[in-house]
Amino acid sequence: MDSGRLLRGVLRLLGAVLILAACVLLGQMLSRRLRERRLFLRGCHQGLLALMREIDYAASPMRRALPAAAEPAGPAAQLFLRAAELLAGSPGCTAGEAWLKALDEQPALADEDRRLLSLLSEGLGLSDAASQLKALELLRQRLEAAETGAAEQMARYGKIWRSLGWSMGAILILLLL
Amino acid sequence: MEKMIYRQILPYLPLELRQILLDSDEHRLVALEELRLRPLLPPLLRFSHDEAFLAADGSLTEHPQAGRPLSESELRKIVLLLSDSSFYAIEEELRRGYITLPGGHRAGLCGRAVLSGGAVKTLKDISAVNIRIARPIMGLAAPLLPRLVDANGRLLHTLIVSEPRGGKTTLLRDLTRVVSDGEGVRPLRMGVIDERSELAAMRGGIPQLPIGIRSDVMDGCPKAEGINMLLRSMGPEALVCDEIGRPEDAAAIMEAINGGVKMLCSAHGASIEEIISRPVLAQLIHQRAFERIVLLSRREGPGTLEWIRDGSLEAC
Repeated sequence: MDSGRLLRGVLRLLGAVLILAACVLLGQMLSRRLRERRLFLRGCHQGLLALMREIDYAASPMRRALPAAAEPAGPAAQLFLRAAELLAGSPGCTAGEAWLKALDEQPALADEDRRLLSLLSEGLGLSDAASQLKALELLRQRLEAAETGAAEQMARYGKIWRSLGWSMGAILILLLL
Repeated sequence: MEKMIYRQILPYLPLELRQILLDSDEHRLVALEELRLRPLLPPLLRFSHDEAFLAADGSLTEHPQAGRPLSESELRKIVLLLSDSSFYAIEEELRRGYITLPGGHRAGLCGRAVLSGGAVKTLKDISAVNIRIARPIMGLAAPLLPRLVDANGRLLHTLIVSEPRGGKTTLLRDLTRVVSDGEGVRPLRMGVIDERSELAAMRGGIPQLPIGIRSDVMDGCPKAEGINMLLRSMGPEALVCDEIGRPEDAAAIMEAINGGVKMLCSAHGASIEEIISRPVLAQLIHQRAFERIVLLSRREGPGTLEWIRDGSLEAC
């Protein structure tokens, strides 16, 4: 009798620990997603700045400029590298098309970020340096605004998700026990 | 269809147009010399003796109305592909009006000129593209070579003359290759001054047409300056210049000859009278700058040999 009660107690405790761990992990994951989105947008912003420098100062062709843009792009480096790879490896593929294909291969990207980044494909490489820089600067400003928004979201909701994880876990345990 | 067109020209065309050309008459495409592309008009294919418009089913027609018009977006894509998606990086090429493609082909461009200080800075709003197919002809120089060397097998100062499209650049290029590679002659270090980028068709520092293993190319450089620069920097044993004719060319050529460097040059001209009526050529011939003068014509096709004469214009 006593041993059965003990076993039930241990199982309840184990269940409570698992519920709490799951809720905390969920909170951490949601918080990390906000942080990763911010870092990805910052990487894209840095990559775009490097792309602008390559066009402005070195007049590098796109197949050299895209890998160069990947260097400071941090978590977004793969996007620039993949676009360069597709451009070099697909005859008849333009830089804009390569960029769109590379974006499609990023499934974790939020729809609003995908829409924003797809703007880079429009007319990429099709005009003189001044026009390219003008178009890229407009996109850079929008990326900067998106990055600022993502940073605010992270500051506002990052802690909330983490705390919610703990709180939800505790509430669930209390309800279930 | 000629593999070269598959590999080197079709990748610059949008998918649909590429497919139409793939469905087209292979035997005619082998002889394609130019592909002219304008928005809202059908592609015009120029062959050595005639021309035709491309229809939607791949057939070639004389009637423009039966052709498949090229859309504006297709032309934009062609320009993007020709510029390697980097229109901003080819300002120098746009100033010259053409892009050199791998294989030595040329894409001539027309559009709105952007001026800076009265000179063309670049082109915008491209309105026409003309892809000219390059076909280097190897072995053209070999039969002539024994007449262009002395008894000791040393190369003689040579001037190749022909009317436009008479084959002088093709012969000059092959002669450069043969001497540079030492095919039937002692190999020489060659310096090529390629002012019009027609001899070597340089792209990214790499010659797209065969000019030999010992050839250094000064690309896009005025001939007189190029001769002096190569003499100072590369120690050439022979110098190659296409289409000489300016007074400063003559002075630089004489300086090179006096320095012991062999000269291989070409110039426009359809007859001996025409050659000596041009002051610069007359001066060079008078100074006995050239030991051999070769006249070509199109009588039996480009590169038909009319005669070879010595420096005093006597048959040899």
